[in-house]
Amino acid sequence: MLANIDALLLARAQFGFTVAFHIVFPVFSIGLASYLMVLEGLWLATGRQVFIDLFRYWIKIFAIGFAMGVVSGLVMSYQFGTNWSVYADKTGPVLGPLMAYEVLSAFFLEAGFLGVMLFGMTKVGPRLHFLATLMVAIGTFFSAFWILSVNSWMQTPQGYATNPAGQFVPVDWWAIVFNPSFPYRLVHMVLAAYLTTALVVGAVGAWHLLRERTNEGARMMFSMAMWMLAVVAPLQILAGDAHGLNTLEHQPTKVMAMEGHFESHPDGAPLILFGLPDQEAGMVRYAVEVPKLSSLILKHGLNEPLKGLDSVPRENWPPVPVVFWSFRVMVSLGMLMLLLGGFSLLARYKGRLYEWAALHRFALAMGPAGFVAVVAGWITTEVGRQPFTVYGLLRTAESASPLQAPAVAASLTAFVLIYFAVFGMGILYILHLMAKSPHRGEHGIEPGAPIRTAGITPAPSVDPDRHLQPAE
Amino acid sequence: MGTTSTPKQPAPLWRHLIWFASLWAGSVLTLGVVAGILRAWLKAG
Repeated sequence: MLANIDALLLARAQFGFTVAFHIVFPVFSIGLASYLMVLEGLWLATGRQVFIDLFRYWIKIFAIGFAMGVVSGLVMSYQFGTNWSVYADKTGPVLGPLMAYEVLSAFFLEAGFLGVMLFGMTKVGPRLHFLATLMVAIGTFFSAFWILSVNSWMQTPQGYATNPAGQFVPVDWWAIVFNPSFPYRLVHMVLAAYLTTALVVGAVGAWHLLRERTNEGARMMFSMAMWMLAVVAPLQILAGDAHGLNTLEHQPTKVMAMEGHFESHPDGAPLILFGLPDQEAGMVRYAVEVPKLSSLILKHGLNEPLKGLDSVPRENWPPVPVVFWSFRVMVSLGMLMLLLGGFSLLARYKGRLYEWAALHRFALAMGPAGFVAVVAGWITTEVGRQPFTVYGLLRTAESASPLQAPAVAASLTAFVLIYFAVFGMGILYILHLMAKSPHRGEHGIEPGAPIRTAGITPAPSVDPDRHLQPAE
Repeated sequence: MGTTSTPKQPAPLWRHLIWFASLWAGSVLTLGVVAGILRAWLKAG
């Protein structure tokens, strides 16, 4: 049976599977590192116990998510050598140094200072500890910076020349790093990381508020998450629109697939809301569309012409149905995030942020929405770049190693089994930690750290507002 | 043995800095070992 399966398709499936698994962890790490930095900074500035309690609550979850992100990322990068050696050989002179910078950021900023962050609170003092938290947050940002620069160069390559061996070689590093789609992708992705984390934090807060409305930690995390959502969701929609216009300029075929525009529209293109794209027939069946709205959004004029896929050779078409639907999943979830942010503002205005159960249920249901939106957005941009690995220059079919289908199928099976087992357990443990309610005197990771004063009598340490947990 | 105790003095800065550097180096080393093991595993495969 394996003889009939394309080794290239299996290699793509393997990379797609490992990246889809990997991408959710760094997105969560980027957002959570910044959230931890804010919590610790607020604790240092105000001395309020709730901030350090929340810091200790979330740092355990951060540590597990970070570890899974690092391991899944390392495996993924090695695939360039195993399955994509032609791509690695041709793009290595340009992309190798950028990926090396990402690795340096991950090793020396993120991972290095993570140890201080996890185990150093009682050993290095609060200010040096905050410095470590700051370095981890900056490290996650720099990792994202370099890896998105690499990805963006694959989408909008510039600043290179080709040598006689057919390799891309650097000519202008500034142009390579800051290629045309990079600033838009960086902003869109970092905002997505903040939104995703806010949705998770909000969902955890909502889960505990549904059980115990007076829980101080749950109230604080829910309030902070809803502020983030209310502010960042509209900004993300604006950033996404700007990114889309940039894509139209540099990768018009991708936008044609996103919009489902098989035909050119010289007098204004409709916005197809839903439909069933038929790649073979070159049409969208059962289309529900708004006349001329696509031209208005993309060209800011009702009658502006928009080219369709009929202006592109068929061998350069991406898989339209995948791009069309993944884009709609991402946009729909973005709109729901905007709705949740608006709902939270209304609840805050009415003074019912912690009492409105419908809001809490909505926030709880939206907990995984950021991860789904990120994966959907990633599928949109990566499948939309097909059939190229380096847009317009290097075809995916010409990028793979000389592979045998059975070998790739075996390693893909191993990846699927190991990933679901290892990361499945990790995710279950994270959910187990999230299910525990935050409480005063939260334990950190460090063993033996005192959580309350031990005087001659325990009376001074008794807090009437404290919510004792059964486990204590 | 008295019943009162003097408040614990914070550790000197040099001790904090040594812990800071040690934890940082230990973490980098740990990740290096994990990366090396994964690389060896994938190369063997």
